[in-house]
Amino acid sequence: MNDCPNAEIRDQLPDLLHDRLNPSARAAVLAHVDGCADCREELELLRGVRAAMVAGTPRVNVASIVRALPAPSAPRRATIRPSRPRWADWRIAATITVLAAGASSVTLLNRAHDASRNTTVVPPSAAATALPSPTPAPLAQRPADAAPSTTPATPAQRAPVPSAEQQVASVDDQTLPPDPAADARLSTLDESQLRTLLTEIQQMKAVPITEPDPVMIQVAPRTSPSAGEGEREGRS
Amino acid sequence: MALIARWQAGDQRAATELVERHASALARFAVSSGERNEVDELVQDTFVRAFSSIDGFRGDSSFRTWLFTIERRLLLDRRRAEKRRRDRTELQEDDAATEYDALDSVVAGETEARLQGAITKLSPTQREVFTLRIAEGLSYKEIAEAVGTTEGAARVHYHNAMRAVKEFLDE
Repeated sequence: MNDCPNAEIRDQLPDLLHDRLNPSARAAVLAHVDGCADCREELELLRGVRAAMVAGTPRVNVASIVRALPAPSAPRRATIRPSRPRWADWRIAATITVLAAGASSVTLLNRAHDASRNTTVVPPSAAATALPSPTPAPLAQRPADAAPSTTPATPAQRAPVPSAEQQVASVDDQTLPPDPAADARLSTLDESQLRTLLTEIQQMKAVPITEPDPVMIQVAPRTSPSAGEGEREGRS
Repeated sequence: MALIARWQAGDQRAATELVERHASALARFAVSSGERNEVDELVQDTFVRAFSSIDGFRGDSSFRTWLFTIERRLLLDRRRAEKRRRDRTELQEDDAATEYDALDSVVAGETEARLQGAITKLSPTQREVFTLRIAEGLSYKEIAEAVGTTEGAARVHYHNAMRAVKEFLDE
């Protein structure tokens, strides 16, 4: 059995056997095989070898293989977070309430501070309904001073009401002390006053009323001149 | 790839179809690689390994070539284990006649029996390349991938095997 000298064609004989050639290559190989006895003989040999291999293939139990196969992996699920304990809900609500109350206090204090600095006054109509005093008072006036005369007066309320200029000066020069009764006195304002107050609060910008404590940097005194020289030498 | 996608979607018939399509080729390759006693088990292990790591199949080669690669790796692992037990099953030159006799009962015609005998005379690598090229119709590139060699080496192995078979038949 001889080998055809055309190695390129011989290389493609198995592809011809398995019909893996494109039409043009297949036509070229078939044309060569028609005129080449060695290639025809080799092609017959390939058919025989293939048949022998197929005949000698042991049977495989397909069903048992399929049974042994693993199940397809499930699609990835979203990570389930552990449920939040119920007690956390009222804690969140309490935190929000405390923050809201704190923000309102800061806003009110800042508003009073800015109003006194800019000598912004409440329109006379609103002030007249809010205050029994004949003279228009600045809105920055503490609610303790704006309490109506119908309510029982506390010792603080009985103090003489200062003039507008005195209030501006006093508010500008000092920080308002915390007054626990202020919130209670807000309830004495009527609806229009509260709306005016709320509108102005919304137009204001909250700024922190406290500044961070200054940081003091302490420099240790130098112990001996020789140690400093040694350190400088070490750095060089 | 469509069958793989169907199987991943839960279609068990797709798995059956894949096994039916490739099991015989894997069995042939196992025999050509010298496996005689546990072909069924080797083929099953190959499929189990392939389906377990099917997410790693990127489709760069054909699914069948990928299966051949896995099967050959499993076969090498087995041989190493058997070598440690000093009970090698790799086909030796003296065993060729024995295998020939064993296969003789399976092969129907005398020509097929002679061809089968010629194949068993080949070296293990030649047998693998010869089987993949003739029985499965793989290209040299695919053979190189499955056997773990270069395309040029696969071509050389094939032509050497063909020459050896012809010489055996001419004797």
